[in-house]
Amino acid sequence: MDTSLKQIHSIMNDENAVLIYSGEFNQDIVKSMLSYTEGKLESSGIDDLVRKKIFNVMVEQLQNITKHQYTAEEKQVVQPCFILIEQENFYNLVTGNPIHIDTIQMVKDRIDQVNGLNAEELKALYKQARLNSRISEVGGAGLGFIDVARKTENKLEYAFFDIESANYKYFTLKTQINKIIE
Amino acid sequence: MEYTYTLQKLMAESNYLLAIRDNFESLLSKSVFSIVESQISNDNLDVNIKNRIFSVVVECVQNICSNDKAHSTSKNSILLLNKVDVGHNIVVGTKLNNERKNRLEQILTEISSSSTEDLKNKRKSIISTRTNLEESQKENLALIDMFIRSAGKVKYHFQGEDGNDCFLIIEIEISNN
Repeated sequence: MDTSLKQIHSIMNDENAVLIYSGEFNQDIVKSMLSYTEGKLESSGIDDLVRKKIFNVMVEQLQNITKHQYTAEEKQVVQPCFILIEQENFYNLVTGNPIHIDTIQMVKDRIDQVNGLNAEELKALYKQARLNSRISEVGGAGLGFIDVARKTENKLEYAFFDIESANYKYFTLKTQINKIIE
Repeated sequence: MEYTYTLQKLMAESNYLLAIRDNFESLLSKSVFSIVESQISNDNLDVNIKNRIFSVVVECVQNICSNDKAHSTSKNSILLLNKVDVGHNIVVGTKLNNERKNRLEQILTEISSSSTEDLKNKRKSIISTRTNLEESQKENLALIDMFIRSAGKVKYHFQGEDGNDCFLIIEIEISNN
């Protein structure tokens, strides 16, 4: 058995990952992954409201992946990926995608900003952002982060990894949605 | 968070497109088929090859992965799909108790030493003599089907034999030719 397979299986077990997709994200793939997650949530018998939250956050995160794509002239050194993790009390949605170095600081600032706010402040920021409705150059990711933070009611975890590219890094974003609403 | 980047690298290195770890109950199986279908429908492959890939995935999910009725809530099975130079590899792994291990080992040893013609005859004989197949016959048929559809390009091994449980990994190569 090839070693990558062993390692993938071992990481999946360690991290409780149930689904990993790595490759091109097109409409059909996004649709079928949403359908898989929907089926999974349905069979888990979790609350409708939580299901809706997970679904909305997943849509937002998958949309973000498609927005941060390589430009045509860039050699593809890494692939975007999506990982669904099921823990006893919560789900994690993890995305990874290349991100242009010019947008890293902006993304970092946005996430740090939303992570520093409480629910009321997030609501106010969301309203303000919608009123301004200024879509950023990378496709309105700022509003997306606020929305995700509001829906998950948990802090967003992120990291940037160096890859073999002068212009891109690998951006990973992890959200956590609790199975039970308190 | 580093595991995300590591997983992506591992998946990319061997061209893995998809990895699912689950109990593959019927509701989820449908969605798994839908992901695989959308994966291969984008490839410029002959429709017969696509059908072969899809059929093997169906056999894997329905008869190998979802057979652990005693632990239906645990995620004891995995399914991976990867693109290789000659075609596609479908990898299925599942946890087995000793009884199932012995049964599958015997079936796999027998099948892997049989010719395609013998396997086709065996398949016919199982289907024609029974209307309601037992679990072991379903497994037998699924494995025969994998060998026939892949022209014998099936590798398997049992790993981590630990007390009463072990893990069976089967790799099925569906060539583009």
